[in-house]
Amino acid sequence: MNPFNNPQIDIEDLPRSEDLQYSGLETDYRSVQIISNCIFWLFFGVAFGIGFLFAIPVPKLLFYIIAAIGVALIIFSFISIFVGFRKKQYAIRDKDIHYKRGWIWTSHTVIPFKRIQHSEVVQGPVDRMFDLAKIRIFTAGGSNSDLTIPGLRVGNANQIKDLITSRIATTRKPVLTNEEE
Amino acid sequence: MKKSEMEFKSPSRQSRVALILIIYSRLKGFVSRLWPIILIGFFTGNFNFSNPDGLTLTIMILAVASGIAGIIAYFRYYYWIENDQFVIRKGVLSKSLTQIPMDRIQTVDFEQNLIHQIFNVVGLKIQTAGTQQAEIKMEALEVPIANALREYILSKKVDTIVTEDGTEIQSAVLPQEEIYRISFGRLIKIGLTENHLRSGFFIVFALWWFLDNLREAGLNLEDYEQEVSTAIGASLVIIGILSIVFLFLSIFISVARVVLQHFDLRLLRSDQGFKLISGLFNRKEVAAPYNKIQVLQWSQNLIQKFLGYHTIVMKQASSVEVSNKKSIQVPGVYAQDIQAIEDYLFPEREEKDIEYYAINKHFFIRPALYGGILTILLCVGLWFNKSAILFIAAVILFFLFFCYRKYLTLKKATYAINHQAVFLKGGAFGSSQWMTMLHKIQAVSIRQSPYQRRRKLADLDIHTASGTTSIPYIPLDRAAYLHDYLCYQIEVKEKHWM
Repeated sequence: MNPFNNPQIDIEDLPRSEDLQYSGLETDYRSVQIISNCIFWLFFGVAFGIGFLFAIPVPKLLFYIIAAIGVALIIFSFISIFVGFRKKQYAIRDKDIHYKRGWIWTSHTVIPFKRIQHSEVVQGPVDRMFDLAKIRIFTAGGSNSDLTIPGLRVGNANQIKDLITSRIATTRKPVLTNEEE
Repeated sequence: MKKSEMEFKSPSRQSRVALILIIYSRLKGFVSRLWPIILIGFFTGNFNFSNPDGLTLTIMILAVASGIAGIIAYFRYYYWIENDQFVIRKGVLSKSLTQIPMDRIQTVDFEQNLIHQIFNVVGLKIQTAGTQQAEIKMEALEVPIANALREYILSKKVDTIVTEDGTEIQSAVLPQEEIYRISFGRLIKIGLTENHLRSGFFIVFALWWFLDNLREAGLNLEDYEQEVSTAIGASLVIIGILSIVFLFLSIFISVARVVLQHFDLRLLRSDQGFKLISGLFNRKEVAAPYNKIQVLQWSQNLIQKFLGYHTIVMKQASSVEVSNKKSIQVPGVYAQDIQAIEDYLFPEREEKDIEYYAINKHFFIRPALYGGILTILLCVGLWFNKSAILFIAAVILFFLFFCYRKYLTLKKATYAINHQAVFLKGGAFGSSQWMTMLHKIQAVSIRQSPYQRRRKLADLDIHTASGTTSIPYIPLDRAAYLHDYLCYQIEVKEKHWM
């Protein structure tokens, strides 16, 4: 760093991430989650049903308890989708990307563009029905600090990816080329 | 140099000793996965090799097949150097060609287990700066070849370091200075001050597991149990003797573990990084370039506190997931040794006059409260279940110990952040410290549980390339401020994290 250009920073003047304008996810993403959730519970229910009917004979009381727990979990998972959806927010600044999530346990992660290793846009089958995609951002910090922002329009996701690519394009050589012959 | 370059131009195989090692490691992997079955088979006499049943036959065929596959794999494995790239071609059914640019290679580590030592060969590990599975492992190379290869690779590396950093390193082979060495006497002392409880738990677990397997294997233990329990009940002397044997066995295991791992440990340093050589049967050489070390942590337990010993760990950025294999661990170091290592690693840390902050008391109150409720419920349940009063007392005692430990942790946990580094202190009965430089931080996050939200508290997670550490239970506004401050510092720092 140039020692003659080193202005003192007033701590109060630091850019505050609280003041950012956070954007929510696309509302269609809620439908994606509801559909995925339905599919999940359907499979689960069918598997359990078959198990109870044919394989394991259980006392009636136990069956009702398990069924009640199952119904409670299903209701909870749907509430979780609706409440959690509004809590998922992201913001992009000039130099970093923020993502907030969680309604019981909340978390707010920042990844500076400088530290992003690579990013990818992924689209699941249900996402495709609604023209949505998610962006995955990888750092060297391992799975703990990797981010996945779901529920973005495909165009938006690609824009973010391009932005990240342009920001990290310090012409890094590929580390290891591994070709399958 | 020229000569070695010639040698590596054409594709060559590893040393023939690799064959033994491959078969050995395959068999080991096989046995370690199937050993419960094998053990039970032997105990129950189910294995009959002259007239094998289906299971035995399957196991034998699989073992032989895996051995043969290993042999073929050896003959299909070639390495060479081409256009300043280290190339490996391997594979039987799915073939692969791996190329690593030489200047991307971070370290070349040697490893010598007993078989290596007997045949005078070394295992080779090549690590790169990447985040994907960027690591190459070679089973066996003759020592002179391995040395020449390493020298050649590192000579290529030095060139690039001169151009990248502007530092002037003339000679290819860097002078290495030994900064720390463990004598056998100190090694024994370190072993004696280890946490013997852990070894004790290990014995108990191993014994329990073994008995459980014997029972499964059809051995009738009840008869013995009767005999043993009457014998134990008969005299306190036997209990006394057994506990002394148990104690000695625990201590013996921890000392043996320390000696095996750290025998003749030497820590060397050059201008580029540290190198650690240690081990009795399995002699290891681990290199850690300064720029690859992300986190420094050191700790001591209660007994080691009196001797002034610390165990220091330098964690390197790991390519796959955080693994302990890539960290350099040195036991028995004094405070001034740590100071010296810190000076080599992070000379710009400015640790003096730094102010440490305590964490919030709810760090203790919450688990004590919830744990207390759980303990009361458990005790009431046990009471109605007419359990022994001794058992209930044990539960309460355990809870009190848990609270005490948590309280000590609260009292010791402090953190400090200046414009260069993050420092954390902690520990319950012993003490531990953790530090990293701000430019090594990858990402930051704030986490809140409902309990913390009601009290405006939060955890601050600091993610580095060798793991995540969190500062628990600090005021939310402070966490938010640190969050912003760390982002700002990551942006401002020009130094690369690796």
